[in-house]
Amino acid sequence: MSRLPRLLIMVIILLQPLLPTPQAGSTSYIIGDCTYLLAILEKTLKYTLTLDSTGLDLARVLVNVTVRSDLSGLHAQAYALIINYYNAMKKTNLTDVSELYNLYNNLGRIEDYASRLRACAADPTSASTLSVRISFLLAGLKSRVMGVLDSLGGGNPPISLTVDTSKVYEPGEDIPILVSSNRADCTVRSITLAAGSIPINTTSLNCTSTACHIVLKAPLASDLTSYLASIGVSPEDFSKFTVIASAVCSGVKIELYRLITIGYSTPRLILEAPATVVRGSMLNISIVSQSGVLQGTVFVKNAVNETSLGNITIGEAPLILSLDTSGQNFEVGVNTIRVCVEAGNATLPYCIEKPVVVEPRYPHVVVEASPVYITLDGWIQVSLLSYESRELESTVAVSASGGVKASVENNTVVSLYASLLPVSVANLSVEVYDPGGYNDTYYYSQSILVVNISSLIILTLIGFIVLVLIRDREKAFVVALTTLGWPRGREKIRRTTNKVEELLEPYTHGLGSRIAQLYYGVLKKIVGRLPQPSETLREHYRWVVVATAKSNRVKELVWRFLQLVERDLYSDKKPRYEEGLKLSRGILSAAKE
Amino acid sequence: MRPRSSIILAYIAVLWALLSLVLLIVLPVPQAYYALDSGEYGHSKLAATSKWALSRQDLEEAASGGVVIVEGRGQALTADEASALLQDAKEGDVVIVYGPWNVIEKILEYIGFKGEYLGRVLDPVENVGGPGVIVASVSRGNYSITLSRPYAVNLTPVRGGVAAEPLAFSSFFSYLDENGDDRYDVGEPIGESVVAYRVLVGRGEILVFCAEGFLTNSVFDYNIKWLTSTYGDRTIFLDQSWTRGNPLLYIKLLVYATQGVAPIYVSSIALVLLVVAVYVHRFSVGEGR
Repeated sequence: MSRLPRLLIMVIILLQPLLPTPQAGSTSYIIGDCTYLLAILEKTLKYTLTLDSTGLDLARVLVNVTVRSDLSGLHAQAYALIINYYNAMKKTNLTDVSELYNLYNNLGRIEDYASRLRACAADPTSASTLSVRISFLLAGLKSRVMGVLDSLGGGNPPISLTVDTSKVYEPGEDIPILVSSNRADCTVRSITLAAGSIPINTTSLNCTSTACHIVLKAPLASDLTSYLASIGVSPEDFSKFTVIASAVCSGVKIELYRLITIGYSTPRLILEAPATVVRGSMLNISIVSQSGVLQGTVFVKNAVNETSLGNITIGEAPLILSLDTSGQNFEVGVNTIRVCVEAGNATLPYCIEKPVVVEPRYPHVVVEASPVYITLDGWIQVSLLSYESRELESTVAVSASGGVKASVENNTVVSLYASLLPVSVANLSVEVYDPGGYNDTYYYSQSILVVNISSLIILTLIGFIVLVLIRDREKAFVVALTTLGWPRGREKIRRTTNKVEELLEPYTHGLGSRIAQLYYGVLKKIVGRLPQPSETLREHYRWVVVATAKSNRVKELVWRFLQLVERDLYSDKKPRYEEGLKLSRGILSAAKE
Repeated sequence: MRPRSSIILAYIAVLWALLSLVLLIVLPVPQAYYALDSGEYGHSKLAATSKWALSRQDLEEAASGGVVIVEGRGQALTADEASALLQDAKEGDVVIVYGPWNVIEKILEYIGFKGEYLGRVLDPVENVGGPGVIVASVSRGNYSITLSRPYAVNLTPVRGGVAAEPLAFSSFFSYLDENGDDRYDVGEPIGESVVAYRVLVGRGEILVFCAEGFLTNSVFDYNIKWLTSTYGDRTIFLDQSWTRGNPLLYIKLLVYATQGVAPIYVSSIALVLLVVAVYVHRFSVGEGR
């Protein structure tokens, strides 16, 4: 019965292909790629600006997709607004102005959504480019809504805003703006200059006339530092600004937008540095400004941290800086030298970078290791040659072992135990380090084959002994092996082995009958020597029994017993065991007489 | 060694050999595009509803100008294989091809096109479980198909007389992951991409799906409707001749070739059970004595 579980396991394995395989279920995908969401928003808005129906199709699908939970509310609102925009702008007989005013004022929610997306984008710098474009597209949408509102007012827009949008203003230059309130219920409350969605400069007023003149100043580049830092926008995208006139007409707030261009420039810097430098040596860098004298800072950035190396003033003459790479500011590997200049009047803040690979300063040592070690006892020797005048330390290890520590002098030989196994593959690792910290740690690693001759001989001997021991006992050995998995362990194995050996005894003597076994038992008692494998029972009788037995009665009974054994061995008509038992008792009693 | 010992050892050796054979047949082999692999990129679902071609000869015999040959594979075709497929298509068969880019590039080359790999197509909106398994629309008929790990390819004919027409497009929401970083980067194009081409060859056609999975298990259920609606009157042959290079895969296919539980499989199980039963019985008798 104890074999039943094993048979069941086997049946289960065999029938495994017939069992049904589990099917993976699909789950709805949650979009979390903010850059993608920003890009698809921009694409949708582009279609929306021209009232292309593709934009409406996109918005109808996107409003229902699942996005990450912190964006879902704004996401749904933004696309619902786009759908509303299509609905409102395509109405032929639009009479409800409040709907348009609501739409006009709520379009800012899309900008909020874009800002949120920019903040969670994997690359905020690239995302800010999209964000700026979205701001302009939204300004366009607002202008179109305002246009509709104007037309609904019978060609008399509630407010108007006039500014020269074709001119490129210089930083610090005055920007004349004419704003007018065309209806008695409208008051222009403020004029704002904004970069994207961030107001830069706001002038409050209370304009109810048709000609209010305001002058805004184009901000200096240095005034925009905090704004630029907040959005991380690239200078190429930083030229468009929005003039926003905010008014209140009969309690409803409306805004009018105009885009203007202010000409900022990016400073031209040249940074020269070698591509690689060995740690500890001096790194010479050269910085030149082609945009006048600028104030700036030098940084070094690596995998560990970013450090300021000090303030500098750059002019047209090359500024040479010698930087010590042995200090804590530099790490082995890629270090990026970054020079950032502050904004001037017309020049934007700007940074230039150059990567420099700091190579480790390894001590001049040579590790002499062989790929194959043939050892007597498993110990191997590794030679370490040092050409350094400084004192060095080393750790030599094989695979996961603790390793051996040793000082490295001119020629140091380190002995360590590699393996107990006769043949093994191991990994030899050597670590040479400088206690003084001047040099970087040198690592050496090699895969080695270790032959342990002692183990090999011992194992061969054990194998040979085992082979001798189990020779002619193969069946008992196999049966014993099958019992290894049984729960009652060693005792059971021993009993089973003994039992099997007992059962197999006649076979080991070349016999196949219990009567023959009985015959052997009788022979052992009366003549001592048993038949050899090379002689027949009759030969044994003739040469041994006849010569040894004293009584004719015994000889006769043994002869009859022998015939009985032969019948049991070779005849189809087997004698009964009791017959043999009776004869054996008769022989033994006759022998005693 | 004595004769009785040899018999015992032979007995054990036979038992182990049989067990090894059965285990070899029974245990699953994860191999993309394999008829017996029930994994994502296996063909077990298609294999259950189609005929298998275990050699080029099988395929040549089956190709009659009215069958669909499915060539979803991970290894590039040899020149001989490609030439035979082209011949089948010329005679009126439909050949469906999909697999990794290196495989498709070779096939396109044999057909007469130079393919330029543009990048993976990801679709965060129109997908099945993730942006890498996209839903594409077929230009003819109102069908959608699902492609696993699709990519966009630009085709340029390098031989006269060959032309490819777009067969399926990814959605407006898809984009080309040009740098292969599995996310959108500013500048990567968003919009429809051609993800399958139809090339007319003689009386037949070759449908090239630029995707690693098309009739593979994970997307099979989404695409079988299109296949049966478009080519329902044709017998489908799944080409598995590429397994001949791998004895393990090939032997398993031979065993299962009749589909379902093959006689050789049942015989093997019966033989092993018989040997085990005899062994256990004899040992029990021995113990009893």
